[in-house]
Amino acid sequence: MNSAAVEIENLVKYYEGRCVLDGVNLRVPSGCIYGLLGRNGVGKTTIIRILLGLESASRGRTSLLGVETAKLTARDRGRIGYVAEGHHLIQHYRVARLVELYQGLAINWNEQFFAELIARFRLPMDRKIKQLSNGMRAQLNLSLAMAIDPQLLILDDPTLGLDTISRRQFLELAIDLIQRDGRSILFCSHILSDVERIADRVGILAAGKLVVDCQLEELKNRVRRLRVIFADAAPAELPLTEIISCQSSGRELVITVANWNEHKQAMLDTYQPQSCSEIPMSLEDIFVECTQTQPLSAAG
Amino acid sequence: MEWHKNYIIQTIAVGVITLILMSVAFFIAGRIIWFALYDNVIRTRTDLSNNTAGIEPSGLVDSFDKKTTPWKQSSITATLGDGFFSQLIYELQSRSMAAKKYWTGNNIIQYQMLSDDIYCAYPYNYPGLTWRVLYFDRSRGLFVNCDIQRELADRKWIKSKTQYIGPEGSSDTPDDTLGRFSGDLVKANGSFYWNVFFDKEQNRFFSLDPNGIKKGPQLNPEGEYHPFEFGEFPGRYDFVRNFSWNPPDIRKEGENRSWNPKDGLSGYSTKAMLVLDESGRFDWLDLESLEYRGPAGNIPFWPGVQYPKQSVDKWHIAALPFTVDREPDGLILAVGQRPGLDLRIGVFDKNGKLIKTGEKYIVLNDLAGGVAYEIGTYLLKNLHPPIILLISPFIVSVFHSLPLNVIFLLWLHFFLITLPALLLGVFFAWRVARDARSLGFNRRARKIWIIATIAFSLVGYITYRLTRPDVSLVTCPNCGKGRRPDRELCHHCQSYWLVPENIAPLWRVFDADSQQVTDEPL
Amino acid sequence: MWPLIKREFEALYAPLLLIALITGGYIIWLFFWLPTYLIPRAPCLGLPFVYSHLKLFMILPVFSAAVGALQMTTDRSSGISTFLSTLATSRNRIFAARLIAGIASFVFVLAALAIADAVLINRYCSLVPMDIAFLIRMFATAFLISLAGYGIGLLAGWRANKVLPVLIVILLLIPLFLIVFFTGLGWQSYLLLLAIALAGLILVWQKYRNVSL
Repeated sequence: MNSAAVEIENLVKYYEGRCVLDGVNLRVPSGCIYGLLGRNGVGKTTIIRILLGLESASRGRTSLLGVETAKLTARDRGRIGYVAEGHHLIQHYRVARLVELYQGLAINWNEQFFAELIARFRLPMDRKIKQLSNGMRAQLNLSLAMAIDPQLLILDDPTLGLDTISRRQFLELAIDLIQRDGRSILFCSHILSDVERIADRVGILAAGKLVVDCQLEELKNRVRRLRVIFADAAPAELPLTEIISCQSSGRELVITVANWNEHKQAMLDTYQPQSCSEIPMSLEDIFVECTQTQPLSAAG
Repeated sequence: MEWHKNYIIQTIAVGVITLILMSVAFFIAGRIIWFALYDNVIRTRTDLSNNTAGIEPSGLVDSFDKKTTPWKQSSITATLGDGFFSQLIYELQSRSMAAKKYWTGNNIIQYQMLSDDIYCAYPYNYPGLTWRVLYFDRSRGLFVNCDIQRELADRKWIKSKTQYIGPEGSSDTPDDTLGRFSGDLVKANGSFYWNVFFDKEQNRFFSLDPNGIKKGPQLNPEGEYHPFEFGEFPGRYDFVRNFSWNPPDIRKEGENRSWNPKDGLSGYSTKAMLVLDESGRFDWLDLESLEYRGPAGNIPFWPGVQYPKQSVDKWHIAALPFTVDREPDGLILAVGQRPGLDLRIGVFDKNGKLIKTGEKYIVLNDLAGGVAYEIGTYLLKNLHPPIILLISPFIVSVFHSLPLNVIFLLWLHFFLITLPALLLGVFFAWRVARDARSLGFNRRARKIWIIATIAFSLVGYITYRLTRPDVSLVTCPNCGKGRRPDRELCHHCQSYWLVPENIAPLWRVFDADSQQVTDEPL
Repeated sequence: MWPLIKREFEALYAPLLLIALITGGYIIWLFFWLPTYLIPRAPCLGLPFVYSHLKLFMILPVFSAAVGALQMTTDRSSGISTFLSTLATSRNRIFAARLIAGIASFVFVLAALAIADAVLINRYCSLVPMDIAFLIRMFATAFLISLAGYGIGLLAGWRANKVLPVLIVILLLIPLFLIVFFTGLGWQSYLLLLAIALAGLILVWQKYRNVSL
């Protein structure tokens, strides 16, 4: 039985002659919180829209909860919660009317849980959606998506517009959701501290491709930033593959390398550096390194 | 594939809409061209005699026409109409009581749409508080003749003096002795012979009168009489106007004597009624005995054509009986095959023998704008789908029972006339094929589109343009031509997908759970 | 499905109210005019309201086209389908609900008018046979031309530009009226109108299923 919540195979998307996604492969296992990262305009929202069937792919196959996107039934969609970037709600509706519509269409609806969320966020039921602030709209959107008890939650920059307290509350909700068997979350966010706090796996998009797809801890192990000091001037070229970035200044060389292993360590040792120390990297540091515009690497 | 199925459905839907709307547009354009020509040239600027057919002397009152001092002989005139016809207006007007003004004391025109089962309705006292109505009751199979009067007290209308009329007689009660009519009754055209009808099941004529009912002899189904239409023949489709017989103007010296209607009059006789047979023959039916008196005339009365029996596109016929002292004494027929463009007049004596003919054609090339009209309609015709033009002779032959050689000649005629349409179709097909190739349509799809565009010409081309896949082609780095981003291979050079503008880093960080375990960095 | 249909009806409350007022006013006028003006002067021997119905039947296709165009332009500009299609429903259901509401808008008018006619005929025009078949043909033609107009309105409403749909609708409605004008109230106009209506609705449905939301 297929245990993936989300599967993407060889996804290609063109917008008016411009290639946005160039053969993306991605798999979100069940019970996983997957953080999809990338710079603005790299295609994160496009991937999500294609997954949900809001957009058609130029090529490739996508599926949610084991069902191909094109074949998702109403019942399948009832198991998927979605919070969109920009929070597309029906602007001229009052909150209560929108809730009524959502509830009427939902397969599962947890009235008690929803009421708790509304109370916690202090959302006014009689106000029109367009009169709510961005943060309130985000909270409403989140509450609606959570209240259907989704098997899969897809979040596109869900905490945009939320204050610190609300963001923290949301993250706790997400963790609470994931505790239940088989629930999965796919989310995109620019607030990497949030991703670092809750994600199990991380994917980074760059130049239309997925360049990183691994567990968060694994990523931190495999991407290393090293400060290497040589006796004489730092060498112009190092015979190391998968160099992400390299800055030299006199005898000092700071390199960021992907997939650091013993073999690469041994290669570096052949240059007999005076010292070689690791600079700890946060997820944000790794993200910045991975998504900077790259010249072609010298080696490899 | 789902995509293909959707595309086929979409194309068929767009094609149907385009075909119907373009057909309507062509029709309207044709009408506009015609009326622009007709109203501006034929009717207003040309001499009226240019579009009037006339016969002088008429041949029906020879004894007067031959007198020594005829000043003006009897004549028949008929003017070409403009061929305009609206089925909707015809349906509304033919049923509407507004078309027949009934005096009700207040001069109110009643816009009431009468049922076909009402044969007669009129107010017969002042101020119209009692109406006499005769109608056919289908549930009973009997006619009902009744008074409908308004009660003064509560102003309601009620029925009174009801009389039931069946084939066997009439009575105040609807009992079985009256017999039953079949319900498949054919009414006379117009309101002059309102009381005469034909029962198709019983195959005989009946007429209603104040005493009850008159029954004609039953016609032999294998015999020579198969009535098709009867009564008045005013002519539809506005193909003829001012159709009249004009009496001679005879004056003796020193004496003015105007024409005595008893010596001859055009109009409907109260003693006999015209019946058009399925064969195209006109007969007189005696209104007293409801028996056939004899032939009145026939169509066609010119050589080389057959009467189109029960064809969809019937000829347009107007008939003008000629009577002497209310006895039928002749018949004048006006026939048009192309409304507004041709008109034939036939004059028959009282025995149904053709005595005179006349005709009028509009030769468009003789008129200013006529050439423009011919060219305009020719061009318009050639915008029609060639397949429809080419199969139309066969459709015509089905309805007109033409022999094979005539069908072939007709088809050849259509083919030559519509050759430009075919050439236009080929031109559109070439454009479609070129565009389809650039969009990566496979050979089978391109063939289908080429055939469809040749067959449907402009309609096919418009359908293609409206259903053309909305893809932005991308330049293939291998061959330099436009390729579709939704295909793995370039449909020109079959090269694999490359996106040189996307410069991805040379490294990847994948773990064992990643989908990309086997994806080696470039 | 019912929440979707309810939502569609709510979205159409303004045009529905307008047509309800027009139809209601017309029916009230009929109930007043017939006994007050016609009946005292002459018996009801034929259908007395055909010509006045025709005026309403000419407005109805324009109304149905406007409803279709309104539904689609509102959807595109407000992102209604974008929102709804992420819920526990499908594009087919959303479209079906839209069709039901749109078609119901003019079917209600015809139904109300048919009921009013039946009451009037039964009350005032039952002395002699009425040409009910003609009336039915009128209603059938009105339904089909409104359905075709609705399909054209939906098609035209794809564009976010509010002026262009109006122009397209006006242009494409003219041939519909001309079809009835020249072919009358019979099977020929039924076939043509039904073909346009079905083709238009199928085309809109296909587009809707595949469009990016």
